[in-house]
Amino acid sequence: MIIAVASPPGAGKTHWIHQQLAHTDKPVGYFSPQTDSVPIDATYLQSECPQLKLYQTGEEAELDKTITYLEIPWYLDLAGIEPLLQTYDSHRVAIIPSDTDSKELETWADEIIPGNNDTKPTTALQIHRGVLTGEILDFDSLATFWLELIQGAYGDVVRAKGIFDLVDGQVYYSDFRLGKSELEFKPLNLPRWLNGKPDRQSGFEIVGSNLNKAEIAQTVRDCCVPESAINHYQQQVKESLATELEVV
Amino acid sequence: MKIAVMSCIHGNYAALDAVLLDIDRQKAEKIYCLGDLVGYGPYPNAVVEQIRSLDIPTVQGCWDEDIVEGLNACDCSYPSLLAEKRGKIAHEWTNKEVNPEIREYLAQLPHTYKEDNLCFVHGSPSSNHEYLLPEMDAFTALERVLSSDADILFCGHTHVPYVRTLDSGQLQVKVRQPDQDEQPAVSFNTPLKRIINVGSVGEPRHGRPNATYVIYDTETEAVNLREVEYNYQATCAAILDAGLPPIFAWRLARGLEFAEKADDPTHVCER
Repeated sequence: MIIAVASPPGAGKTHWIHQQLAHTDKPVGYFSPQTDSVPIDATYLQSECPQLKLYQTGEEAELDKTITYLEIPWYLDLAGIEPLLQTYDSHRVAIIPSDTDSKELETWADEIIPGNNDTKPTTALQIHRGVLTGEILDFDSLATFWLELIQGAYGDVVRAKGIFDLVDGQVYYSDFRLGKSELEFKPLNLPRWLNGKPDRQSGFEIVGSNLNKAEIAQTVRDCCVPESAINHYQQQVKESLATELEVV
Repeated sequence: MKIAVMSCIHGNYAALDAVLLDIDRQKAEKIYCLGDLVGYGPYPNAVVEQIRSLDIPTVQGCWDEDIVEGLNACDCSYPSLLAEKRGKIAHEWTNKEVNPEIREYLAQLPHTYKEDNLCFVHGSPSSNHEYLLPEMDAFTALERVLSSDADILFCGHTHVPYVRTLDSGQLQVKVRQPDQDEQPAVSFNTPLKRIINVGSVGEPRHGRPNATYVIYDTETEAVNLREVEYNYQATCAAILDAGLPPIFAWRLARGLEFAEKADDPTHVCER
């Protein structure tokens, strides 16, 4: 059984899937096409639900081994997904904000869920992804960049999300959509990485218009801890954690 | 007597010009400047020339010092890797831009300036890199004012103006050294002291682009925190024309200053 979920950007697909996962004790899987290079939502969902089976591109034939949530990115053509949905027993869920007129999604869906209201951009949306696997970021630098980003310093952003390995060894998740004012970095329930460059996926995805991709890339590079300094910082964190344990 | 005290102009000539006009309207009899004439902004030479031509008593700011002596910062100068990167770009640009006579002027500026019961510093009497943040613990703040031997300590550096009154009280100090017998405690009374942070003319951090400075009345001891609108768009355009990072213009237009500053009130400058 495949539960296919589609929506405009920022309407709440991942949030809705997370809610469904919390209410099931059956084997459940997750697949989001064309997000393998920066699997932000997959990483977030698995940290929240460790039993979740993640499928990657090339594993489509196995999707029916579990109840599988198929999160369809907003930029994918629904017609392109249709052959996959035709292969299996499927249920189609569209998450549509009340202020959005989306005839295509309404026609496509078996079930419609009200989504987050968003402000529609007047120009065509661009998507910019950055792979940060192996990089460790300085938290204060990242917080500054993220604040500048969502306030429009690098273009008009309607959606920004990312998973970041930080100096304390933890992976942090951030998720911004237009109209949401709070700026939050949430540590994910994943093991700390304190031995050199992290061998796990991280990165970001920004959706908006007039994005200054070169400036975004340069600023993110400036937030990364130089390789020569990683060991120094990790030693400090290890010592600090050891002290905490002694106190306990 | 009304005096005007300003700080942290950071090469922003349009902001300085607007503040000088406002000081004139307020009929202040004397102007003092707490340094950071240069750095980040596009007009370091013009700002210094204006301050010098008006013969304004001025102390050396951390940026003025760095342009003279080179970068040698501790953590409080750069709270993040990104701030460090941006600070270094601004330093290199300013270093190439300033004329030799401007550098000479900056080099001879004193770290502190005293007049009667008033003391003028950039950061703190200990260091022009140290932040006297409003949340700093009262004992340390009082120690800094007492070390200046003044009743009113004027400072800048944080780019956010504030007035902090340190009430009179009794302090007891006991020094303990590992290889000596315990010394008897010394008690003393401290009179009421005040720290007046005058904010920033050219690089405000209060969420609006307006320049800030202070008018102080030496007779009534009244403090007037002034906020002055100016043509910040002109400075933003000049930043872009000069080839400085566009993010400096973006941040200036929003009162976020050019690069974020340290905000840890427990940090003691180790420079």
